[in-house]
Amino acid sequence: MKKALVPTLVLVISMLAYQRAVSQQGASSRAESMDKSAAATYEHLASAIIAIEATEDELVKSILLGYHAAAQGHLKAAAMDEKGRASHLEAAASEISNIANEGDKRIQAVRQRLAKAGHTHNTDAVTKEDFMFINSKEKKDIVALARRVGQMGESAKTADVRAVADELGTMFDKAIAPE
Amino acid sequence: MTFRPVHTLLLFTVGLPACGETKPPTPPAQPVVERPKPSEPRFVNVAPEAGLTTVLYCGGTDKDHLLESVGTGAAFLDFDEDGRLDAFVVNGWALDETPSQVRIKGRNALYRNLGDGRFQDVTDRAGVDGDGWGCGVCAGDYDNDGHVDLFVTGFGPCRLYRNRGDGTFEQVAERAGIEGTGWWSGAAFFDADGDGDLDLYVAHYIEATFDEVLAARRTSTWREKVKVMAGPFGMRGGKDRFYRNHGDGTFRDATDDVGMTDIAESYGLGVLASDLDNDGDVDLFVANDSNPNYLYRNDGNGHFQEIGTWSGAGLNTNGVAQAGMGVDGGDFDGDGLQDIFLTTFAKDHATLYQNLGNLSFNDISASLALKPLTYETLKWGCAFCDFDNDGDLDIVIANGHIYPQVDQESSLNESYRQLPTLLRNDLGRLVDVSRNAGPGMQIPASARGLAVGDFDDDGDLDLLITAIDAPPLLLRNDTTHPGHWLKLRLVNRHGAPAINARATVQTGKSRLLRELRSGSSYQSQNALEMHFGLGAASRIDQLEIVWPGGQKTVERGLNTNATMTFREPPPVTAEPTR
Repeated sequence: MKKALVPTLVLVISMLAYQRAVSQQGASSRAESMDKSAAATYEHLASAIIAIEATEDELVKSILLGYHAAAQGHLKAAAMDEKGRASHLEAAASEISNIANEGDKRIQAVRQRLAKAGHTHNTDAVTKEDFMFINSKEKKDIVALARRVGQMGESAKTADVRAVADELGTMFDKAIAPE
Repeated sequence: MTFRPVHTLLLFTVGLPACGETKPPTPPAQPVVERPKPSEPRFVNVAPEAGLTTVLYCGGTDKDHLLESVGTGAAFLDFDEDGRLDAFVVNGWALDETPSQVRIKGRNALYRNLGDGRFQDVTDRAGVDGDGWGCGVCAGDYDNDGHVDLFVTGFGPCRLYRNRGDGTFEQVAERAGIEGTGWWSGAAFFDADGDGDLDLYVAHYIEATFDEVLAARRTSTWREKVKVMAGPFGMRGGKDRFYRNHGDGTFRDATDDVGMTDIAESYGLGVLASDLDNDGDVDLFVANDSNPNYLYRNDGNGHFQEIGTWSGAGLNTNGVAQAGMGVDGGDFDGDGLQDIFLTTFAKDHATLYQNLGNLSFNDISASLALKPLTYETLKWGCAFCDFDNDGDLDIVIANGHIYPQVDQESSLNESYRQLPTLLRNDLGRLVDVSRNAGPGMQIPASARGLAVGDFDDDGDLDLLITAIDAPPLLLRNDTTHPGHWLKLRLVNRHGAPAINARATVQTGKSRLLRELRSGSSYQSQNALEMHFGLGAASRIDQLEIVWPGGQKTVERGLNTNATMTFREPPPVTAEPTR
């Protein structure tokens, strides 16, 4: 996204430079006015960039909240539905995996497109992977929880299912809390 | 040579911790047994005198685009059904750098094994030369006529070579309904829905056009030293495909119907079609480059659910998606479940996923010390194979960098052409014996494909390796004092290799499991026969074969050092009820 703005900026700056050159003999007050105008435009652009980044943060956060809600829903269903417990647990495991990967497969494909355009976020100190909310330590723990949930099977006890739901809630809240 | 009983391997599998990379690797527990000196491996490259001389092209010298780095695959197969393993190698194209244009359209090569150590190039007569930019190969009798067919992937349309049974093939991809262009890599035939014919999965690497390949410039920097090609991260991945076999010689794209929609558009390379949960149907693992691997669980009716990440086989133990290249499955720890071995990029370790049952996997690379053993090399074709016939599965890996520019900067301490890796299984501990494994293992190459088979029919496993811009290597296994062995040819009711049949050999307390598979490794095809190293056991207590569909054949008291053929029994018909 930032990269897409670069050509626009270059164009604006070039036009300003050109206009400045042809008006060398013009009044200095006009030049000053143009400088102010360029700065103001850039200011607006900066606000837009910052707003877009904040919007992306909120969007991804809401996506993660959606996975979490879905996972909790499946875990609740697993706790109540003894017959369908295994499939609810597996569905919960899939949603928990989505949290770990900061997106399901569709979102991952979008992130790849963004990366191609040079748009990245935080680089994990350990794994060098790009992430927004879930760092490598958190990812590792969440993946491990997903595995555990996926393997609990139909013989899982209701209390154990509720325990992993609590565990997930704690992990998730910690992961998306502001740094 | 004396031998190590396989059952002792079980000792180390108990209680393996899920070690992170930050912890020092914990050596597996060593059983208290008298341990003989393992045999010295010896591999010799006999490709030139055998006549395997076709140069396998892959782009220009500078490798400006990723297509020029992926190389091609190889296959051992008995296409003429004379009992000897023939060799097939896939070829790409050579490019000029300035101007960037096609210099040579490489031709695949099919070599007929003459049985005296020599091969005859029968490509033209067989009609499998192709003129596209080839990538991978897998084999299987898709039309149930008793003859093994070849499927060749590539950049552009794929090729399906139907074996006519008279030493010739016809290219029928379009007629069979396998259409579309793309950049196809690994593939495997397998009977997904248990209807008695082979379906097909094809991994799609990256969306790209040939114009983009020709126009590509090196824009990335490798380790802040040299300018290299860009990708794959940031490039648009391709969608893998599943083709359902109609049973009449045609296929239909049923990817969405069976639940295999590749919505992540991951960079698919290696394909492993295997019954990983021992439930009688075939599951599928896809090694994805720089993305989580896929593990598709088969519900028994040919519908799949992707469970890679939460199965434990999608990411490594640190939760990282590695650059998956090649893959193989094998019962490494002797527990009756097939483990998964994955090859990866340079400066990263290969990964061994231990199968815990019920499609739960645990990355045990740290406890096997795979990081120090495999970290530096860029790894591609791979195989579990018992090269020394001692009764346990060793691991062989074909290596080669993708950036020729690493040779220009000595401080990188890397080389474009690399040596293969041979990891010997010593009581569950992997020992790198590569540099003492004979002259064939000391040939630097930018290797890619790897196929395993006993081409000289002497009871031990040989290696067929492809390398970029070079002829293939045929590494004959001359290891001395190998143990006893058994080779099985499992033939289905149509007379062709019974893909995904499984056999378990029991000698004393040890049980060895093998599965006959199409595809796997990296864009390659192992021989469609099973090889068992048996160590000191000179007699087989029991052989159990489970055929696709579930029927069993049990034999007792078999001799060793022999090649045996078993045919699938006729279907059991239900007694008519009155």
